[in-house]
Amino acid sequence: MEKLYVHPLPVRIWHWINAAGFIVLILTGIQLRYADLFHVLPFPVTVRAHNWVGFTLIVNYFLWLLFYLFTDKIKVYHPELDPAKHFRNTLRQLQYYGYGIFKGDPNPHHVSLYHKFNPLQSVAYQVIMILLVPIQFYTGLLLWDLERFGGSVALFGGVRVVDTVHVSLFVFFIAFIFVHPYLASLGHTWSAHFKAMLTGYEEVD
Amino acid sequence: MEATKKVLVIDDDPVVGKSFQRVLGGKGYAVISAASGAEALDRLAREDYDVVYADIKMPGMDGLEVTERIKASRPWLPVVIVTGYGSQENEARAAKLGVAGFLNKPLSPDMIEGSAQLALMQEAKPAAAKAGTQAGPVSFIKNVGLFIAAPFIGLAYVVAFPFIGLGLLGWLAIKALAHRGVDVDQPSSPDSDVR
Amino acid sequence: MALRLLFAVILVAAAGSARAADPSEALPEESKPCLACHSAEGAPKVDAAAFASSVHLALGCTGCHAGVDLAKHPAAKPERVNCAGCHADATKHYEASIHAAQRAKGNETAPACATCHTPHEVSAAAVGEGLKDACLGCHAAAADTHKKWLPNAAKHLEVVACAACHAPAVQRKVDLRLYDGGGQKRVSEDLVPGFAERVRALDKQGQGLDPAQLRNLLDHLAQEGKVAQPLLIGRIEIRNGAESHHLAGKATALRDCQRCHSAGAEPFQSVTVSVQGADGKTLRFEAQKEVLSSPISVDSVRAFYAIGGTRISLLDVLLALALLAGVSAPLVHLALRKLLRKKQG
Repeated sequence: MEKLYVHPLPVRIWHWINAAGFIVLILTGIQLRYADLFHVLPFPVTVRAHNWVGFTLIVNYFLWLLFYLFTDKIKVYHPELDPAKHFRNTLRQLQYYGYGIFKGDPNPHHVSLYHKFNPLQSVAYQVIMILLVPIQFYTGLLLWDLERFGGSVALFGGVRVVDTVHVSLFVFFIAFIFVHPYLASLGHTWSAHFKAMLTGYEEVD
Repeated sequence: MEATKKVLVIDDDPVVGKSFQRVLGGKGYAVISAASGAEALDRLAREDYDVVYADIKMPGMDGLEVTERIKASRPWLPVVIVTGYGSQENEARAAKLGVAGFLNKPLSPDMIEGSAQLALMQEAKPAAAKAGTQAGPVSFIKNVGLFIAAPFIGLAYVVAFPFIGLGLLGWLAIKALAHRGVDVDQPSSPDSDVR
Repeated sequence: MALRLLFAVILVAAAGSARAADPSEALPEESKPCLACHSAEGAPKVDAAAFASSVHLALGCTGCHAGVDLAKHPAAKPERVNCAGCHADATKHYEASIHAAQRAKGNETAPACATCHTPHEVSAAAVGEGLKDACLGCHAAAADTHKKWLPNAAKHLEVVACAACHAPAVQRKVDLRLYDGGGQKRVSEDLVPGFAERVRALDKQGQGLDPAQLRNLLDHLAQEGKVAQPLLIGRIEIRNGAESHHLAGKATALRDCQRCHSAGAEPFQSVTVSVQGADGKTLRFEAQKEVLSSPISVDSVRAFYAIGGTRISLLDVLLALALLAGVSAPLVHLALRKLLRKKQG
C-alpha cells in the first residue's frame, strides 16, 4: 500500500475543530428553534454557546481558507472545466456507490495529491466550503446582532429572510452530518479515511 | 559531487534491471529493481527515488498505468518509458503523461546513462520553473479565480446533471444490457476495458 | 414630521410676543384664550402644536382642567386633573403598580400618569416610541442591564414594549406596523386613502387577513406607488392596555425566553396590521396568526421574526425529512452492502 500525504496539518486541525463545532451548533441550533421540544440549557446560555462556537468556526474557516489560498493545494478545490469529463466521472462514481460497491467493485476514483476528492465530493465540497458555509456564517453573524447589522439585514431582505436561509442551510447540514461519516467509512477498511484525517496519510493501492 | 541518485527500474524481466545496474552502478547511481507496477508503487510509497524507468508491457498494471499513478502522486518525479514495442499511440500517451523520455529496446549503455542524465536535468528545470510560476501573481489570481468560480460551476453541473445525467445513464444502461447479453456466453470476463 | 414640529415650535415662539398667528387652527375656540397666556413666558407653557395633535384635542383645555374661574386665575390654581375619571381601568392597575407604591411611600420621583404620558401631547400608547423613551428616561441603565443577560438586547428593546415583560398580567400580541421607504417612516392613513376598504374587501369573511391576502395587500400598495417599498415591522405589544399599567418590580419581570421563543407562544396568537390614523390613533386590522408562520409570508413579514416562536412550518417538515434521509440513507446502503456481500461470499 502506498501512502499519500493528502491531508496537511492545517486541514486536519481545521477539519476536527469544524466537526466538533458543527455538532455543537446543530445541537444548540435545534434547541433554539425547538425550545418547546428540547430544553437542555437555559435559553440565553444556548444562544451564547451558539454564538461563540459560531465565531470560533468563522476564525477556523479562515485557517482553512488561507491555507488553500496560499498553497498549491488550492487545486483540490478547482473545478473540472471539461463538462464531458465531469459528467462521465460523476456517473462512474454514482454507479459505484449505487451498484458497483454492492458487487465489491473497486472505487473508480484514485486519490492523488491534487485530486483527493472524487467527482461527487469535488463538486459537493466546492459548493459547501466556498458557498454554503460562508453564507451560513454570514447569516449567523447577522442574526447574532440584528441591531449592529441592521443595514445588512435589510439589504439581505429582512430578518425573516436571513433566518430562513440560515435554517435552510442548517437543514442541509443536518443531513450532511449523517451522510458524511458514512461515506467516510467506505474506504478500503471502514476506518481508513478516519485514520487518514488524523495522520494525514491516505493509503492508496 | 552530490549524493547518490536513486533509480527505480520497473520490468518483469530481471535482466533489464541487471543491465541498468551494470551501466549506472559505478557512476553515482543506486539501482533498485521492481518486478511489477504494484511492487514499484509499494517501494515508492516507502522511499524517495530520483528517476524511474518503466517497461510498458508487463503483466498486471502496464508501464503507462504505473506512470499515471506515479504522476498523480509525484508529478515532479521523472519517469522514462522503456519498451520493445514502440508504437506511435504509446508514445503519444506517454508524452501526454509528461514522461522524461521514451527508450526503444534494445538499450545501449549510452542510451541508459544519457537518458538518466537528461531526466535528472529535466527534473531540476521544471522544479525551478514551477517554483517561479507559483510565486507569480498571475498564477495566484488564476488559482483564486478558479477557486471562487468552483462552487458556481459546481452548481451549474448539479442543475444540469438531471438532464445530461439521465440521458447518459439511459445510453449506458442500453449499452450495459447489450453487453450483458454477450457476456452470458463468456462468464467472468474481467473488466479490463474499464480504464 | 420633525421638520413640521420644529416649524410649529418656531411659530409658537414667535407668537409669544406677537400674540398672533396661532399655529393650530385645529384648536377649539375655547382653548385659544388659555393658550394666549400658556404659550408665553411666565405661565406654565403648553406646546400648542403638540396639543393639537394629541388625542385629547377634542376635550379642549377645560375637558381636563375643570373649574378654572378666570376671574381668580392664575391666583387660584385649577383642580388636579383626574385621569381616573375617564381611565378608571388603567388607573386601577396603576394603583397596584410599583410606581404607585413608590409614590405612596413618598418617592416624589416615582411617576404619576403625566410623567410617562407627557401632558398635552398624550397619544395612544401604541403610536410611537414615546413611551419606551419615557421608561428609559428614568431607567437610564436599563439598556445596559438588559445587555448583560439578554441576547440581541437592543433589538428586543426596540421591538418589544417594555410592559410586555414588566407587567406580568398583560396579554401580548403582534402588531405589524406599515412603514414607508423600507422602514423609514410609519405610513399614515391619509397617505393610503381607502386602505381600510381594501383590507375589508380582501378579508371578506372577516376572519383576519390570511397570508395570501396580506401578500396581495402589500403587492397592491407597492403597485399603487404611494408607499415606496412598503414594509411591515412587527412589534410585541399589549392587547389589554389597562393591565400594562400594572408594572411590577424587577424581580417579577418576565425572564423566561420561551414565553415568546417557542411554538404556539402566546404573543403570536393575535396579530394586527396597523397604519397611523389621522386623529393620532392607530388603525388596526386583524390578521390571522398564520401570517407569522406561512411560507407565503416570508416576504410580507420579512422584517419580523422571533426564533422558535414564529418559525416557518415548511422548514420543520424539511428538517424532519433531512433527518430521516440523513439517517436512513446510510443505513439502507449499509444493509444492502452487507446483504449483497453475503450472497456473493
